[in-house]
Amino acid sequence: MVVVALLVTLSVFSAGQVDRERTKFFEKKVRPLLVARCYECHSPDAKKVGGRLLLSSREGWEQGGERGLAIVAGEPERSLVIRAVRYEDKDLRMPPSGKLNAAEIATLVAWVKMGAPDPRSENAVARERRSIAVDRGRDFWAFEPPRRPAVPAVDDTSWPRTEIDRFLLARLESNGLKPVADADRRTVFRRAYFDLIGMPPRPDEVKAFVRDPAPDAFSKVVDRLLGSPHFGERWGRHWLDVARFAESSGGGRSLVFKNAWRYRDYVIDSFNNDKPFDRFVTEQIAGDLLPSANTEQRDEQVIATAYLVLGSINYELQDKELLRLEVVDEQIDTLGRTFLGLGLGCARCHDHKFDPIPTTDYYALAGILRSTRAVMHDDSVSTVVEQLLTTSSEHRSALDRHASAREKLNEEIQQAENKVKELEEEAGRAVSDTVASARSRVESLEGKLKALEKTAPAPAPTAMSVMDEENPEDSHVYIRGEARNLGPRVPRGFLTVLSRDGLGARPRIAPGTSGRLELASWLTSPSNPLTARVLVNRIWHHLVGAGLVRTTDDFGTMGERPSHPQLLDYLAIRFVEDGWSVKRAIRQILLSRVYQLSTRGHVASDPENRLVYRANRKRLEAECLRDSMLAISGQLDLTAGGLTIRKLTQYDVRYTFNTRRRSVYVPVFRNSLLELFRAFDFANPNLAVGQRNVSTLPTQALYFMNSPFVLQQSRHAAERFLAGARQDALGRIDQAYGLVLGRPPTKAERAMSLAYIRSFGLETKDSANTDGGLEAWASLFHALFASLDFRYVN
Amino acid sequence: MTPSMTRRELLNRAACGFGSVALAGLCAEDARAADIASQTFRSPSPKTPQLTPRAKRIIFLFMQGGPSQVDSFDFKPALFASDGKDIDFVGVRAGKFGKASKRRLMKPLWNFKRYGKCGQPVSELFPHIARHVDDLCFLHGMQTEGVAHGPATLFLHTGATNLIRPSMGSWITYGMGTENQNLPGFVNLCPSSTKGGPRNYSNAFLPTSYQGTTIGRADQPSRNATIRHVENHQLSRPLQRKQFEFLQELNRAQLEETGSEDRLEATIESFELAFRMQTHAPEVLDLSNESTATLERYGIGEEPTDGFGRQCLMGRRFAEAGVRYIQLNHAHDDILPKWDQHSDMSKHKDHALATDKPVAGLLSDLKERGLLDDTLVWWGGEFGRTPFSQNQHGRDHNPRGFTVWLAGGGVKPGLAFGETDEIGHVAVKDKVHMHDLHATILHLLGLDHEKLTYRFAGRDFRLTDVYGDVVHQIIA
Repeated sequence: MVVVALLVTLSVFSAGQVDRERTKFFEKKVRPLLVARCYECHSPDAKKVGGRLLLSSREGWEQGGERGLAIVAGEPERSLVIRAVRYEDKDLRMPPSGKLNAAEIATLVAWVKMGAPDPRSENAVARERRSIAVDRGRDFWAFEPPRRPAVPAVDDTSWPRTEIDRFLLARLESNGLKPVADADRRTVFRRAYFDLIGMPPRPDEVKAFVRDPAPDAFSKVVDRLLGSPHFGERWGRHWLDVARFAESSGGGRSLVFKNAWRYRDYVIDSFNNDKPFDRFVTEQIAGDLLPSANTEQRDEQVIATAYLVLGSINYELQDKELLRLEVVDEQIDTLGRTFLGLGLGCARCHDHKFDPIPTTDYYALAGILRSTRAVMHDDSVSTVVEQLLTTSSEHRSALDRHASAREKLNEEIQQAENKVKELEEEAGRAVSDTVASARSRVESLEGKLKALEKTAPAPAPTAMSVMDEENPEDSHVYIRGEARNLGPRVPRGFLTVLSRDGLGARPRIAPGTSGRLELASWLTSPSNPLTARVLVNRIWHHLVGAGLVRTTDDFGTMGERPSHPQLLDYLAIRFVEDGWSVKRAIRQILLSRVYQLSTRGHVASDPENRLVYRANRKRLEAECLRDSMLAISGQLDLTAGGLTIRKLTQYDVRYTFNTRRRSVYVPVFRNSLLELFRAFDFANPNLAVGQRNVSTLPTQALYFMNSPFVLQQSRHAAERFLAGARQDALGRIDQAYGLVLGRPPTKAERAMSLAYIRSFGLETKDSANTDGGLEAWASLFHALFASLDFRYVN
Repeated sequence: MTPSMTRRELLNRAACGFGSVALAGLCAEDARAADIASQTFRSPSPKTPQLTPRAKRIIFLFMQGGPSQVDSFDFKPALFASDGKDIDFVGVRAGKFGKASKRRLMKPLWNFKRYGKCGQPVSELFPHIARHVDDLCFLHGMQTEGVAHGPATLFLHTGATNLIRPSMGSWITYGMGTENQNLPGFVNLCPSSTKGGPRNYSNAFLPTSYQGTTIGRADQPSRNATIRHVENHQLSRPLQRKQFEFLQELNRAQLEETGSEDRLEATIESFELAFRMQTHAPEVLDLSNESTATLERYGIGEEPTDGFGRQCLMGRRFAEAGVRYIQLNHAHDDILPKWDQHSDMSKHKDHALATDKPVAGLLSDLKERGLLDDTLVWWGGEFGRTPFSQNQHGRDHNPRGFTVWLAGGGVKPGLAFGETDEIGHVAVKDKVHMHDLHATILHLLGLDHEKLTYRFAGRDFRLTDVYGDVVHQIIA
């Protein structure tokens, strides 16, 4: 070893002399030629860089262009540049303006042959610039660790109820503003129901609350709702948005993910159980690698890793090396957006232009995910990795019994078929009786096999998951993100710009493992400046209606700056100190006075309400619209969890949805979404979406006016309500408003509603059970469902 | 534009006035404004076209499945001569990727004749389109990405085989807005739900108002095609009217109570527009006032042309009504798409028969009405087919060389641009990559493909990613 090392050193040393000669050759002969005949198209100053190939620096030709490597040092015959200048290819003749003369070509050939010495170091400068960029990037607010702020002093000390209020009031006061009045109790109550469980309160619940004089009446409501199993259904759905949850792969031959529901239920349960968020993250990244106390826990953790394979991937891609790259790319980009609020996809092909994320960081992460098996290749369409889950011992043994019975039958069939062949050969293909009887034995055995398959026990439960590859390894940089354009290897690791204060970007990874455990612990370290901030900001976004950073998925330099940076840090630090408890973070915001403000009021200097002087009016999301209409019509099926895709579903196109379950359980197929979801800005399941679109389109109006769903629910609601206690039309109008809007009608509404009902030709009293009556009341419900106060929460 | 501007301020600045908030959804000009304010992330306003548009709208005739170029428009005498010969081929499919093998050449089943002044050869399967060759611009050197239908179909529509990107129609309506405020700017007639399905007309991360509006679907006759929920079959017309008036009265009362807010007012206006759409959209789709001669010209009322004939005629009506991006689909929902003849090339004829007359009818109708000058027509599939056989009598997918044609909208008529090799396999001359075609189409519509960008997740996206060159040689 020592000898080898010495030899290497010696040869390098003696090469110094030669190098100088070669460099001289380059400077004297090659550089002028390149400048004169190539730079016009192949340098950064070119109007348009030809073939994306730069010949103005060593790294330029080392990286190659669209056609791949441009120069193979030492091998002119394999160098594209040489082929091009020799005009060997019809397609590639350089320079196009005219062939170089023989001497010029010979110069280039000689240069390549001697190893293409090239001292031009533009990229050395660029590389340095990059490391400066990363260093400077650390000064950007989001990449600095949260700092514990002092809770600010306020002038009006009687107003704040919580510390959150003081942060907001201080900002308002410094702008000479005051918060608007509090919302009335009924409004706050309804707001809390939609925010926490996604359904409206029943009229009797409203009444009880409005009458409850206890000072802690609201905090009791908050605790009750946080404890409701519907809380996880509401907040789990928020998470499913950022986890781009879907039950099929989309793209070409879309695969149905028959076990994705297990992940959905895992998410709902995690929110219901207030699983510490750091644990929740860790399980999704590396659950399969964590120790477990029992089989339930092991299964739960395996199920959690479905997060990594839920992406929209074209499993039909025929170039499987490219497919692997695409899967890893989807994972990195989603992971960046979900946990860090950063788009990392750019760095696949080049250093991120706006954020200090070099390509090497991207491939440091890629190494971890390339060392993780997520896809199984099987002929033309690949599939997602699945792992077996635990099942009861009875089920296990039933499966074993079935498997061995099938194996035995198959053997018998094989033997019987062999027998037929033997006999046929003996009989010289003439059909004899013995052959016929041997054949009938085959048939009867095949019949038995068919019968056996019919009684087969349910297949063993499996979960979408990942596992470490047998030989985990660092990834190459893939130049320009191309599957066959390899650059140097990079050690596995994380984002440099986020790593400091003891948080290393290039950790020691346990030998023989992918590094996902290390990744999870890096993400959930209290020193990671983004994970906690991004999450508390998501919570704020859902409760207040706009994030402190409004670009909830982009905390990078192209994203918005926080409106209240100190409040954001306060919330983030408290969140971590509170054991990463999502429920506590939510509770804290709900009990603030800010949450309970009225939506009314307008300040010309802050039309977008960035300072939160009032509550934001929120539009009900698709799920809330549907669940509320079903709840009011009495059709909602509150069963929780489980598989909801119809059995035998092979494809996700043209799926007929016929469920009355809560919306979170409606199958989410990338190739066919429930129509109501599509119309009302449901999260695009192909992308990690922290913030849904809020569009106002005539198609939505058409849906409310004409869709069979809304018409049916209006009718059911009217039927249900007419079957109840008899009362006069005015009483019924009050009741209908209570059910749909959670409040009595105003005077004007009452009058116009009465006139409307009467216009159907009815008496005012007691004749409401006729057919015409049903039509009238169904029509009133229909209008109430379409009205502003149902579609927006004040 | 500053992000702090309210929608109202923005609309006023756009000299649109408040009344036009009504059109928030489908009037893309206003929708942009509405979206900028209602979507809380910053979305830059789309770039005003910097180029002089040659076309105001586009009709894309999507030939799903990959029509065989050598049996249609790419005449290869050498292929006739080399029938049955073996050639070397390097696999592009999973399992055979990069592996060499022998493939047997198969001659086209149909003869070619030369047509028009330009003398473009056309297979005898397309006698009607053949009469229009002097108006067509053939691109014989097309190349694309993706060997399987899913990836290639997505690439054709979105410029990406796998990544989630907005569809071309969404980009174009985002860039151009719409001329008709009672109709969507991007319609897709009878699309297939497979091979990428909705992603082929999805807005992805562009504002929702730029998503394609589907009219009918591939597995149902185009005669029944309509916009979802534009009609109400349960309530009588007078009752609908009465209920609508009550609803709007109720909404205005609620608005008064809660206090004015742009979004709420836009919602009220969206009902007004929807109510008007209930009248206008069915009118465009209603072919009953078209003359018998017109119906006959499109092959409506006879088989096998009725289905696609109706699509083509509706396409013309949408073009007249000012819709920007009109996609017509010769497609279905089966695992094997329509032009996908893997084992029996003779079926190529069925598809030619079903589309030839309707397409020709559309071309002559547009021309007579003076619409062809500013309407770009694009005929093509997601890839072509191999000149060698597969499963004895069929042909496999071929993304490396195939033909599409364009007409009208500023392209050179009667031109054949580009070439495949002598057997019609790989493009060898004047190659046009799908990215280049995208760039060229945007260019003809007055949009610079390098400047039509949208910022999402910290990055500016384009239809052509970092690729694409405008093919100036085909522009008139």
